[in-house]
Amino acid sequence: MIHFYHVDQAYQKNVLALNDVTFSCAKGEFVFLTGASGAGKTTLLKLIIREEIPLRGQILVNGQNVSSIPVSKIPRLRRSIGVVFQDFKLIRTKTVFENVTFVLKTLGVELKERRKRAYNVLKQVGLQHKTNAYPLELSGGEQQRVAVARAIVNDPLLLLADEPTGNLDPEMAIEIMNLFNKINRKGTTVLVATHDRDMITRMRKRVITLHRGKVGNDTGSQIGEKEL
Amino acid sequence: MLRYFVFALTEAITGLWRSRMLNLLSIGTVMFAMFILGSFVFVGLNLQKITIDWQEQIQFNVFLKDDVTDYQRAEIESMLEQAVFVDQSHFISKEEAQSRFGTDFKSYADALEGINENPFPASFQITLMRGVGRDSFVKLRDRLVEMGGIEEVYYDEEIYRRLDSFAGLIKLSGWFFGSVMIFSSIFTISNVLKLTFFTRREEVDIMKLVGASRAYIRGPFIVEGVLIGLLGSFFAVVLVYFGFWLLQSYITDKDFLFGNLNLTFLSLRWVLILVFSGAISGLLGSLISLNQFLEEHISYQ
Repeated sequence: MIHFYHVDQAYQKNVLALNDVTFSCAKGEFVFLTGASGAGKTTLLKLIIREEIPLRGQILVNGQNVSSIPVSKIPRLRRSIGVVFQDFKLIRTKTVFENVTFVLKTLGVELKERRKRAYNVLKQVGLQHKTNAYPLELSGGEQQRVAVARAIVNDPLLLLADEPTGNLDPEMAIEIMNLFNKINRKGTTVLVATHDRDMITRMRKRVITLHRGKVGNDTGSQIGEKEL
Repeated sequence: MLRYFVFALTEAITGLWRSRMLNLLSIGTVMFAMFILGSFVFVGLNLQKITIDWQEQIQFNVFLKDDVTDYQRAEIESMLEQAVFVDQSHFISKEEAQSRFGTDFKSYADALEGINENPFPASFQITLMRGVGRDSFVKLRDRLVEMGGIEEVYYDEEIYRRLDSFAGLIKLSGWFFGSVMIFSSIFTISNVLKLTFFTRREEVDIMKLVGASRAYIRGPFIVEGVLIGLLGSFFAVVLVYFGFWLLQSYITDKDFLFGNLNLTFLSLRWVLILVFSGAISGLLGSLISLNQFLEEHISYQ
């Protein structure tokens, strides 16, 4: 599902944010990406959704080379990936319902269907009663859950999450992780960037550790090579 | 396509409402520009109508010499009948002219006392076709002057010339001021949309991140510009109509200046031209702001 081949990324000359990163994630896998702040977790996620272009190397996502994908195909790539951002990235002037269903609306999904799907995903994150609220009327944890709902509403092939539990209390964090687990069991590949060691230990999934932009440790795929 | 249009329209309406104070500024500017243009067109068209009406009332007279022969008279009559821009020509004999004077100017009846001979010349009273220009009249006059048996071709040329050029001047001023105002409204719309965009920059970034295509991001901004133009020009037409109504009820009722003047409002064609111009200036304003400034930000590059 995700293949990184000798990927380098730099923001400043001679300072590599990612240095010769090579790894693969199989379809349907659940992977934690961990490392200290500045290790390159967010950069790696940004490369997957083509928010950035790598300095060197190749990145394949679901068979598409995202480092050389035409600009016109970026929106489609992003629509196939659900992303939960560290700072939620909710549109403040739109309601929870509008935020969650925005992409569906651009895809021309009927209002009735949008309502149905929004209700289903908001129910999964326990916010079905907040559809008409605006993001700023919600707590940090609630905003994070809206971001999760938006990420999964379009049944993505791949779900990326950047510190999804950073703003949540431990109980809610576990609930969100359980939700990711549930989504993963339905076949969606999940890649979660976090430095929450307790959570990683509790979930017992594959862990890729980044250290100063390099893959320091990889506990290895829990899925057979043939499925890669 | 319809789906895209509905999306862009609903997003644009929401956007307009959200930044309503800013957008009111744009709508107001377009309204002002179109009002200026509309008013000049309204005044110009009505003045033109007045010119044509007056032209009908102005007598174009061909006074004949006392010794005009029947042959010469018949020749003049046939020439007038053949001239395409002559609507009607009526022969007034010396006797008829005298009796008309007696009826129309009773108070001056004394002036004829002691004169045994009829001093009034026979004449042809001519009415030109509606909308005939000054050039045609001059041609006709020149041809008549060359013919025999004619004492004088009388026409109040100066009034006609002045009215004609005044109506032209009003229309020209309308186009000039209107064009200046349209350019300023395009400029305002593009700047207001840039400002609107700044307030929504974060929103655009998020749209890009969740995979909204470029067209879906651009669409609402373009439609917003067109709606601003449409609303502005619509209100301008309403304002011109209000002005027309005021003039109609106050000026004409009170027999002010023009007496029985019957004003006409802009024709449907002109209303559509104004509204369409507003929409086009809105479209240009949004395209300019998108291409000059926003493209870089909206682009996925």
